[in-house]
Amino acid sequence: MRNDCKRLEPALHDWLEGWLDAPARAAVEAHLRRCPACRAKLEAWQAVGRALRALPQLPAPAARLPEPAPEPRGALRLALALCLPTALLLVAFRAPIDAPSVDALKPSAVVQTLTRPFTAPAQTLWNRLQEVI
Amino acid sequence: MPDDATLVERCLQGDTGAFDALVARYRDRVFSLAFRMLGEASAAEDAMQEAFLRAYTRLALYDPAQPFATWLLCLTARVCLNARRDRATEQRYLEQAAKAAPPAPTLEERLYEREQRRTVQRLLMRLPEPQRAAMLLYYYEELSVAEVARALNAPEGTVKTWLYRGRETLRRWLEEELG
Repeated sequence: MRNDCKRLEPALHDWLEGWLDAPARAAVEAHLRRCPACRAKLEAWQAVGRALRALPQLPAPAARLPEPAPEPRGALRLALALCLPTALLLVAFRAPIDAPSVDALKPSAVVQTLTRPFTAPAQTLWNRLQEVI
Repeated sequence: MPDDATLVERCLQGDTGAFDALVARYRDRVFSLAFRMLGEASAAEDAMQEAFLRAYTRLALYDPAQPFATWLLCLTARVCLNARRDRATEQRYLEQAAKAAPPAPTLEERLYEREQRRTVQRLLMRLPEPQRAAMLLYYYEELSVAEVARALNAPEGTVKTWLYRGRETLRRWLEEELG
């Protein structure tokens, strides 16, 4: 391949795609008229384009497409129905809800908690819950 | 049959059946593009699902000024590029490639035309990723350079260079293979 062919090659491709302005187009066409090698390259590029366009569309496999999230199941609905009013009551009476420390999770600490008398807000909450129940 | 814009509008109003209709209309096209880009059916199927999922969740961002098909295919191309970057998919792809010897062609597959298509697909997979994506969106899906540039998040000049280099490389490889 001659040097001017190599230099012109990107412009040759742009010419084929119709991306050149008029002066550049004229320069490429002048070169093409006297260069059989570049004309052959154009034909080969066109064949590549045709080969890509001719690739067949493929059938997609049977559907395994995302589905909408299912409705909560019965048990979950019941749990939500029970938890939500309790959570609202806790918020309403401002019962202290602190994350337990590691020590508070020891069995002995749990026993102490269960045997300790209610604090005032917790007693109020317990009374209100008994009224509701 | 309602057009794409109508189906999108219905879908945005909460009609999931409208999205099913869009999936039915475009699933083969999306799968084909994904397969051409990824070279493997199961990876293409994953990409197709991801593309439709993204389309569904981002439907409100779709600009009706451009065709729905263009938007969906650009989205598919981006999913495929990300999938290739995903290490697990890359590993699976490498394992497939390592098996090397392609299965012996059946009698039907020996038909010249089919053989040529297999060759084109195989050589496409050897192209650098952005060149392959640009070639497929431009020639196979017939998007404009501007649309390809948007899909691949690259300047139009860069896309034109990828198209030129990809086409020239494919030409050289095809001439070497086919004589």
